[in-house]
Amino acid sequence: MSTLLKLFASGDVVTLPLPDGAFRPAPSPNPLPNMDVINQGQGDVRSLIRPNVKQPEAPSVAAWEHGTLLTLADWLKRDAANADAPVGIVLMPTDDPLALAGRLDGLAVIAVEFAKFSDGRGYSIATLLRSRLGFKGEIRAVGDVLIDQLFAMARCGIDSFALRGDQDVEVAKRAFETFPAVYQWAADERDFVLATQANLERAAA
Amino acid sequence: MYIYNAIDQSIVDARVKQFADQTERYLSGRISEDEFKPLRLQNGVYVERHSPLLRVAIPYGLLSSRQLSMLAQIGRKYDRGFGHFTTRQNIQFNWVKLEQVHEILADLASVQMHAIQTSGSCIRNVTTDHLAGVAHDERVDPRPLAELMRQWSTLNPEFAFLPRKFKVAYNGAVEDRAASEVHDLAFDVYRDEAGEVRLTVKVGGGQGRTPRVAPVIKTGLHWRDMLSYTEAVLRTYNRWGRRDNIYKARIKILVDALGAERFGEEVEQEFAHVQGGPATLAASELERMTAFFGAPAYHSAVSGDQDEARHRLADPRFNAWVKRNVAKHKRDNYGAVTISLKPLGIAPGDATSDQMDAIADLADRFSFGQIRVSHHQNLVLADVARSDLWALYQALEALGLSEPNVGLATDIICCPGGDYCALANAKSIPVAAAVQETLAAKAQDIGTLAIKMSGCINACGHHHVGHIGILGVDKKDEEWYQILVGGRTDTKTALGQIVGKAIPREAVAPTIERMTDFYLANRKGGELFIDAVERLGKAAFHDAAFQADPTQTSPSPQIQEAN
Repeated sequence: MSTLLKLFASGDVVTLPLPDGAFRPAPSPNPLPNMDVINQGQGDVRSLIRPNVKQPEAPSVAAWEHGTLLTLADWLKRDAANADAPVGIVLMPTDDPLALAGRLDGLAVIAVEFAKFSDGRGYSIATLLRSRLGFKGEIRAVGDVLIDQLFAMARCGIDSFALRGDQDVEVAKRAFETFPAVYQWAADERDFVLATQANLERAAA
Repeated sequence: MYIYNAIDQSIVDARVKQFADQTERYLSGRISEDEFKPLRLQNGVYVERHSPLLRVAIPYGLLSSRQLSMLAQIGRKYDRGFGHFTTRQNIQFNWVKLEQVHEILADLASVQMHAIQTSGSCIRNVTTDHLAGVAHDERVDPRPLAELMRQWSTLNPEFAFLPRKFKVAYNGAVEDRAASEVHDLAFDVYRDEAGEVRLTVKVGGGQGRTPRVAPVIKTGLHWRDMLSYTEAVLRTYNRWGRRDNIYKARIKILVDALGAERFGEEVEQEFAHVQGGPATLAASELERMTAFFGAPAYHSAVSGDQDEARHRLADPRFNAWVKRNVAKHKRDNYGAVTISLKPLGIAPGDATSDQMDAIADLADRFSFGQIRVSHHQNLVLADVARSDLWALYQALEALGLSEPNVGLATDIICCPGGDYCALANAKSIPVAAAVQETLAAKAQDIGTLAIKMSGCINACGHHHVGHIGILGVDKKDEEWYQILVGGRTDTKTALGQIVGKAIPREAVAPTIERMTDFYLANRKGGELFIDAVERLGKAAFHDAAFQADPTQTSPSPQIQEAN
């Protein structure tokens, strides 16, 4: 079991249990860092750099609470009028979210794959789903969904989070309040600091 | 300079708290090594050969005396009593303990400083001309725009995990003192005929493994669209930049693959959607930001100007210092003084805590309490009355900081190299020291000569754009050095070319000396070294460097032919 966090516009966070297959399981436990080694440096690390990173081929989750997650290609092939039950799809980092233009009806949830937490394509994918396509349904982060990325994910319009199996739910819930203010516009449409035209108009309204 | 308001402060304070919490979770095993690494990098923490290192952001190189004093204190309290100024206008502390970093960040936050995004695959600290605001050849002071970029890029959620690092630089003058064209994103700032501030945008420059001069992809961009356009560039890069190979992940590779024109079209399509959108800056914003960078209370008429001339006649070293270290200021009765951090025997860019404190005091006495860091790894007091030059010089001399070598062969840009850096192929500091020693006596005669040294292909020491570049390479676990010639970044940008084969460490200084001797023997009138290279050709310098040395262990092709 893991937990799904759902973030509401009010800022409230609700937790729901997630079945196996709907989240990435916990990796094996971390060894405790050896501070003597770290504070003495790591010597010459050139030989440790592995330049080639394999691209993910399959999503890390296959399901959500109401069934399986379709791939983008499967969804686009499907006859839209056919959909009677709510449908969930998963977008891989290489998928083009703009391919969903005109095909959002009937989609209840779009899962965005974070195959590796350091692969930032999902942030742009979510941003485009919200701000370019105007998707109003649930956007769910799946894969390497870690506490320290939740704040940025939420800012990009992601509003549900299938936490990886090892993440501490209570710490995760607090992550949405990490920063009391933000400088720039993002797809969450939160108030921001920079004096932009939009901000001035909002203040005047 | 920009002064934080309560909101700016709250963001930086929250960042300190966040990192303290992350460190605690890492130390207790709740965050893995791999997952902690980008978190620490985005707060400027590397783990180097012998110790963790903390890189502190100095936005566009501008510091108050109070901030410099805090850096001095941090050097004393958490390091070994010194700091290292970098080629990106930042400062690094080479000997910190990981578990103390959050305390250092809290000290920094108390003087409106941080280490946010000084490393990692994100938008890095913004850099610009160290003479911004005082340069005689300036079109527009770029610092207000650089500060807007700093704020926009700080903790930008969409671009926190780019394919690779992303460096932004601004140039607002005729001479590009920011080396902007070797940055991922470069803005040339100017005023159009109607007086509106506009930008020329260049993308995909850089050094490292694949050196590139950034091509122009947009002209006439209105400043109010600066952030929207940057968003379009970054979204394009974030989505399409390569992530399969870290050596091919910089934006320059994407720009290369698509071609600048095609890449520009891609950005333009995205820009069409976001132009006029929520990132469009308010019309009043440039004025509001410019107010932070207003001119200090300059004296209008200063008596005692004749002192400068009198002392210059009487003291040849002071004369050399004024010639080399005092740059022309937009006001005739002021000068911009560079404090060289390149005296003999000191690693280029290093300053002790005591020196930092002393320089902070001198800034208060002579330059309105502000200091700039140049990408040449020197410090600058940008607003010194010419009538104060002699007093300032004497004070600097007492501190061992009056080396009159700015822009000379001994003013070497140099990365920390194999003495510190875990990535280096070869040491840099001893090589720079040998070159400095060898050329010290001739440096004034040689005149302007930019020697730049990197200990590996990542090019932190900018070897591609040195008039003479030195690159450390690894051959079968031995340290060798490649020499480049002909690079520059001033009124134009050019990449140097490798001359000859790699040579051992002890051969570097003599090889470079043969090149400078060749220049001295063949220069015409006031011709600079780099101009002589362009007139006589790189091959001539190659021959001078390599053919004259019968002990050359790694013969050049020409010598092989002669055999």
